[in-house]
Amino acid sequence: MTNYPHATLQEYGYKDYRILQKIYKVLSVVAVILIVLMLYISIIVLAIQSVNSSVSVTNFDSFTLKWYAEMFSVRSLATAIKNTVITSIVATLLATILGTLIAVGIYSYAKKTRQKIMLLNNIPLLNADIVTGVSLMLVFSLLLPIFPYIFGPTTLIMAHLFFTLPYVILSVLPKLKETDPNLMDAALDLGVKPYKALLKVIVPAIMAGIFSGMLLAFTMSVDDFVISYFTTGNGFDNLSIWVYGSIGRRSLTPSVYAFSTLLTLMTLAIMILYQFLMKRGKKHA
Amino acid sequence: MHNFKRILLLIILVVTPFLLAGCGAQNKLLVLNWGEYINEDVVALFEEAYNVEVSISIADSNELFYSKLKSGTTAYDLIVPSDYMIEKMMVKGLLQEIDFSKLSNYDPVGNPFLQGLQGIQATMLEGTENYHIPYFWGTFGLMYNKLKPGLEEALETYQWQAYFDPAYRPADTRTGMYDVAQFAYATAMIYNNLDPNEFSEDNLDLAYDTLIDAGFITWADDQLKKSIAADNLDLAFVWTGDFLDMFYVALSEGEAYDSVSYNIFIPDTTLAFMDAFVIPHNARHVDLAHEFINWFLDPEMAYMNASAIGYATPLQNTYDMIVDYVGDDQWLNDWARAYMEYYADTPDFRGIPLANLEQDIVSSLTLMVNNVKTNS
Repeated sequence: MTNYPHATLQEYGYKDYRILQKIYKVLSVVAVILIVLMLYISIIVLAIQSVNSSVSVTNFDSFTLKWYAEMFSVRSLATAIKNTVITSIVATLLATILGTLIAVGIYSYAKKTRQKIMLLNNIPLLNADIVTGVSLMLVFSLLLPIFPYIFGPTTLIMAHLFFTLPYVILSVLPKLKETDPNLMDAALDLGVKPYKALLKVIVPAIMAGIFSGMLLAFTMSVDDFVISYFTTGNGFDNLSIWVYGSIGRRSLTPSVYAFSTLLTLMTLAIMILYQFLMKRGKKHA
Repeated sequence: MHNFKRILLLIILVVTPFLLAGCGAQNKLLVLNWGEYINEDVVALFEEAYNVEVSISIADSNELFYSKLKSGTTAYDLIVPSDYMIEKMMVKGLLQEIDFSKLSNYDPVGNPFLQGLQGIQATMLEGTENYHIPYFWGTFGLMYNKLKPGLEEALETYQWQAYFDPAYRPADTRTGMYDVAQFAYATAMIYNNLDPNEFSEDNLDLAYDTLIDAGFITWADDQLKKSIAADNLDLAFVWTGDFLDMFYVALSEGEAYDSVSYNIFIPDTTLAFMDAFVIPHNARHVDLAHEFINWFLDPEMAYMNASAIGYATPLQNTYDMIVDYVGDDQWLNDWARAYMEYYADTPDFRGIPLANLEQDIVSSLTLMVNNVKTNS
């Protein structure tokens, strides 16, 4: 019996990729870091500038929190921040209440009708902001002869309601689909009045959807510029309009960086809360 | 019956917010101004004195002033556009005349407008003086880097030539131009001793050649002054007020007046602008608007207002208060010096405001400047 040499793995066509795999792994990590950095570098720079004691953006003097404190001492900026918060909160609350009711209503339709209405619901979502803004402005302008001071908080809140409502509906409907279709009938059989059944049975079942819709609506509302720009008036400016007007001739006060940083952090917190709610909602279902 | 009540409730619910919104805004003076262009303390004093609310919205360009006035969603009581826009608004009938009898502080003899400002006003259309009261004015200048040896002397000797002709300035001077086509064209015309507001095909070619020969290494806006401060650029065309804002910040951060690494040179003939109060034709609080204008014609209030803004006050008395300061306050001394150096009140200074150009001329200027940028 002759001793034939054993064929090596390489002779079978095996190639050792282990080293390459390691390199790929490192490369992919580097690439991800680079991409994320590119996406977030502007926000990071903004955050750094908000704690820079020098007004000039080219040199970092020393760490300070005074811009956060001064945010409300510039009156026009303080008013703008206040207006932003008022508008967003009122619009979000209205959108949440109306959106939930509308979603429940839409859900009770037959599937075909429901799809048609959902199409109508999705148009404002996909429509260009500027088209929405201008068309809303035209609609509100029709009321000018009766209410000369109509432009301002009223129109701004209605406009915000207009584009946040679809988000609430969109996030409540899937939750409704998850609920037992006989839930309402069961509640009625047990002797509750219809609106009580809605409040005590349906709403708790879709709470996670309502909350996530509300958070989504709030984040959309708080940073909107284009639609607000066209639909406000009589000195009721929100923050984005104020910032847009400020960058004309002079440098921005770093308090704007401070507020923007806070806003980013808040949005981040809301998004995390949103994810958390969605997860919890899934577990319960 | 039941349904009727429901419908009534619905109607009330829908209508109330409108009525509420209507009530809130009625005793408010609506002002449209440039961003950070007013001392809010002065406004607060006005509010206290007249027991009203002043709401200030901001716009970032003259064109925005025009479109906001035209769109009609808000009836502003007072707006602050610049020279050429005032002419345009007046011609289109968007303004109402100022009632000078309501302005008790208006005193063209005892407290006239500054000479430089009067020079700007003199170039404007006849009749505009009945429609506006100057608010601030300012010039454009050539900001330069003091770290570049020989540049200061070159500018003082050759003025615009040092900016446009590399032969008249130290070698390797890094120059930059404001990235607005009309500014580039107008300055090139001043350099060639032509009217900066007149447009012709020949002038366009001349401007093209001038701008190519000037050898600008950068075209930017806000960045220009920052680049000079950071020693990345030596010479650029900027707003004087913009320079002063930055200069004042440097002073307030503890730098000594003469040790700041940049300065500005104002040529004898340069571009200038004036922002003025005008009252739109559809204003609802005309009397209050006059009171507001009057408030800023008070030399004391104008002084307070000017202390927060880098541009030049229109009033002779306020100017005197600023430059005649005698005392130990470092900031007030620096301020007086800056005013005398950069807003010199001399008759030989010539500030030319920009004209309002037709859209097709603006397009051809922009095209010309883009060609300069790609070919140089």
